[in-house]
Amino acid sequence: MKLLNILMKDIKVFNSQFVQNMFMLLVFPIIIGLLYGIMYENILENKLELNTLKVFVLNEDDGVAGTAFDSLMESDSLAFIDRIGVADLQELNSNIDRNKNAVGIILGKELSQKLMNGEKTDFRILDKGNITIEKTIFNSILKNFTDNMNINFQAAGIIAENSLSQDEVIGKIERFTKLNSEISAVNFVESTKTEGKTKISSIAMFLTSIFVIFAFFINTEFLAERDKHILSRVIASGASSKTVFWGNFLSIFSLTFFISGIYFLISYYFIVPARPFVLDFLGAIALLSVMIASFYAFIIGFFTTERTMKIFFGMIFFAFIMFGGSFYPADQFSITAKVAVFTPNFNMQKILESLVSGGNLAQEGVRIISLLIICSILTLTGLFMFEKKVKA
Amino acid sequence: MYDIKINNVTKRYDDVLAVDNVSINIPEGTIFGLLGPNGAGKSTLINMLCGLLRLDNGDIFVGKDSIKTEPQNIKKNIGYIPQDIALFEGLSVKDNLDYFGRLYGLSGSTLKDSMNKSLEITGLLDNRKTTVKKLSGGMKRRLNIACAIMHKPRILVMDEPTVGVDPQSRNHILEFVRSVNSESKTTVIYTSHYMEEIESVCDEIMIMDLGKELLKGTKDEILRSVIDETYVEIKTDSLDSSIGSSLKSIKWVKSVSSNGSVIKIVTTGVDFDIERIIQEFKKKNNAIHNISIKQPNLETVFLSITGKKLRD
Repeated sequence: MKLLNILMKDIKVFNSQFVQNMFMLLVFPIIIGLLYGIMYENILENKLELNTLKVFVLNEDDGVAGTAFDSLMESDSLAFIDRIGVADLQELNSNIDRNKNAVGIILGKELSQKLMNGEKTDFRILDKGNITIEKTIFNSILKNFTDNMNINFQAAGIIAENSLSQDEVIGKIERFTKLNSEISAVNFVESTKTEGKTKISSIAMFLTSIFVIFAFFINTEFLAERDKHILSRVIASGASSKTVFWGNFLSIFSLTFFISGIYFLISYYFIVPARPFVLDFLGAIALLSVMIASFYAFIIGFFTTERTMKIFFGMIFFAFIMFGGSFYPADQFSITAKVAVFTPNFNMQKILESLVSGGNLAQEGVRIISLLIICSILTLTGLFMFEKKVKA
Repeated sequence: MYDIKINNVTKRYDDVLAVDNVSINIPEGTIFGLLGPNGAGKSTLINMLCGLLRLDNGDIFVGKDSIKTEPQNIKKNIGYIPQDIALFEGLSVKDNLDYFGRLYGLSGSTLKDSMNKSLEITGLLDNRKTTVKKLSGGMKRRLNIACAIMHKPRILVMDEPTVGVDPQSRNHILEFVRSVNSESKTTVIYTSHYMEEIESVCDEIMIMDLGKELLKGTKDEILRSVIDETYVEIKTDSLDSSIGSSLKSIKWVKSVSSNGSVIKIVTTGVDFDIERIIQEFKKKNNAIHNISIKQPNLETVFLSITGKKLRD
């Protein structure tokens, strides 16, 4: 009954500033979420702009390989490459020397014939300057080109040794040319990962929790029992420290469930074309509510005055945000990924991402268990500290 | 029975001895004043009585219940009014009372009746729907009290309830203390560093400083135990030189001195007969223009024992 009394009091506190709370918890996050979604769309869903890479080419092969290479270099997809033909090795070297970042390619005399005969060839790549994304992409294309060149010319040599006609040999070699055009047709300039046609990205979805946490933080009337004066009075009235603690936990859980429910309903069903199964939807909201309630439980346990709580709240909150990768893809880097798995917000974000991309909670069993373990640790640490303080 | 027995209680915060081996017996129905400057240990002592602090040594009994073994039983019978206003500012007066009433286990019609009674006693009936943040400082203090009396406690613990309160609300609070004690025989433990409040409402007083009991008893007992003199100053038109020797002949007059038209008389004890002094002046046909009696008070008592003022 006392738990419900604390919950009812917090609902009354919430209602006493209903308009402000609804704006802070609902309208504002949706506006920010939409803006964030648009920003996200512009950053990840558009084409990647590449700088021009100067490639000096000394092509002395008159055969199929030399022609195929020229064809590759003139491909529209390699628009970021500025191909400059040179007459001899000296001109190639002097041009490379004059540039900070440049690549030189040498296709030696009779390259095609030597490849066909299985003889030693002269195909060289000269690199000057730092490693750049353009060089990495170009290198990858060249590797594919040379791999296919080797395979096809070796095959063609074998065919020729087996007394095939000249036309048959050329026909086989055309396979190389075809493969080569397939390689050059790879649209690597386009972004390789998009988040679908969503206006609110999965990260933007996660903003809810941040705003909910902040809104409760700003509204100091919530969990006012943590304040030592009111805490003294409540304990003196016969309520136990556990009742106060779990009453606060229940209040935060319930109010977050209510607010997040409305927010996710609008976001998932009206803005994002991802309509998860109702149980998954409710489960995600419940997990988010547990996460926020456990975060507060941790804070309540350590700080009883408004001043110290405000100072340390920000530090702890931003530590979670940073280590949990709420504003950057923490799992893309090995070090941050190792740390992020221990933060509740990272696991929660991954669960929400899964729902946005059509997954369900059953597929996220490990993450859910991880999240609940972390939340339990936070909550029980908060309870331990809170009881210790009350009994001091 | 709700007699309070505080037996050899000690509380230490790290190196600071907040309460040092204090023992008090407070019979049921007493208004007991704890007087002392800031840091004297008053709040620590009542926090231990209310079960908010652990005792390092000793024990506190309310009736037969020990605070160590039966804190919940004791808490049921205590209404604690904290020094600071401990209310939910965003809620209405009624919602605050509802919250604290339910914490005390009240519900339904009992809760409603208690709410109305508490509002009536504290004079907040017309403000029941007002949000706390819109109340004046004095009204907040009164609501602070109303929340503590919802469950009709047998013991009321008031920790400096008039700090920062306007004179009107202060009088209201003092009047409340007298009435709650006389009407329902509620024991009141009242801490303050305002000696005039303690003098005005308390039956028994304990003076504390640095965690120790300095003096204990009724106001008169305390005054007599320390200072046994009263100063009387009388201004006349023309001073008869023989008046001094006449006054000195009265057995409870210790000394007489004069300065121009003013005569200063020091008497033994605080109870003396001013009529007797006036008669001596009449006999000598000396017209009295002004009489000033300077009796010792708790402030002077405190000053005489500790060498410092209560509000230092």
